[in-house]
Amino acid sequence: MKERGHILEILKNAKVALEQNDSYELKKLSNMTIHTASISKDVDSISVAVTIYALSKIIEKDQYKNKKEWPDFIKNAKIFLEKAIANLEKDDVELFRRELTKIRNQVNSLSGDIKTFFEEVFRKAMLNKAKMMYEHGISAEETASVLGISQWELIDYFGKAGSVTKYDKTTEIETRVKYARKIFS
Amino acid sequence: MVKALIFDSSSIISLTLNDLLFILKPLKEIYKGEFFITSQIKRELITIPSNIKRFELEVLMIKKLIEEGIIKVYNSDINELNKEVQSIMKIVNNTFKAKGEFIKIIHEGETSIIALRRILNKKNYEVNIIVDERVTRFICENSSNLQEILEHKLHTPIKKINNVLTEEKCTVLRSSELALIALEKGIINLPGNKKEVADALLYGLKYQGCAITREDIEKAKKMF
Repeated sequence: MKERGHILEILKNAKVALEQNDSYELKKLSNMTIHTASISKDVDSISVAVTIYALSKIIEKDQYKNKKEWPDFIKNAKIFLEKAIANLEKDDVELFRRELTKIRNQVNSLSGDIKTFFEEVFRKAMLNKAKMMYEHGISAEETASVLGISQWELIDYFGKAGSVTKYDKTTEIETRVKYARKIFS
Repeated sequence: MVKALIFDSSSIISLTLNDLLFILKPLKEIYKGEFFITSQIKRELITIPSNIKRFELEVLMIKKLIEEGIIKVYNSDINELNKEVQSIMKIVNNTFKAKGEFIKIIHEGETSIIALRRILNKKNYEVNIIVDERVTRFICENSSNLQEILEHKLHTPIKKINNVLTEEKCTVLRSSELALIALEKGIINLPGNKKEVADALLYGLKYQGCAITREDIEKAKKMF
């Protein structure tokens, strides 16, 4: 683990944000984590960023809050988060990882549309973080590799959500088209 | 001189997701050369996604192009290629530092395009590359600006450790330019005038992964 101090701080703030139902703050914390992870490629930072982002999405959707599984999911998420923090404070990285994974693994015990919703939230959280890493200047393949997803998923998602800025431009399109015309003449 | 066009995975993915793979066969006939991918790119295109149901059909479509020999997997000079890949990756991924750490910006498949280009150049091929992916394009066309670009994107000071990274000095094409040529050559026949079809094609590709700006699309349309 490369960013223990930073992760610890993020998790403590995330715990408070979750208790206060503050999805905006959770997203902000997730973005801060992925920013650091783009440089360090630290898997724990990425995993924290994805989990926190997914939690932010879960608490902001009202339509599932009246489902009977919802309160338990959030209650357990808070417990696992607390345990993850405690284990990281003791420098027990393995137990920290296990507790963090438990937040997501709760989804496995669910069923019906709430399960589908949670699964989709975690999948999109992963793709959202991948998009951010890509926007931070990391290549598509490197991003896919670090997050353990395929380039297909990434490109499919980027296309719908990605943005290309003037900084992404290297050569004028007129030059490219002229060149293409020349080699295909 | 033998001609060769090397594709990266992002360009093939963009073409596939837009149902434009059919343009490759007639384009290859016009090009009168080889269309290559590396084994690393094949892995990205076929092996990794083959168990993802969402992309099963797309993988089969690419497999068919390989079986028909329209796209060939470059299987010669494997040791030389791998050596070149490692050497390029070592340079690129050990050039920029942020917060005391080297930033790993490029992976094996993307690097293999540059490596194969160098190998084929040595064999007197006339080589062109098709890359939709942004970072690889920077390395080929504008590596001197990479520091500034990374600083802008990461919002943090970036230190350039060495000047070993040099530009490949080549013009990279994207799936968007291939589609425009296919339109110009009458390979793509869709209702509407060429400007309208170009607009539809370029936005289709943009929304399926090709890194092209709106400004570029507007400029491209004016060329028709």
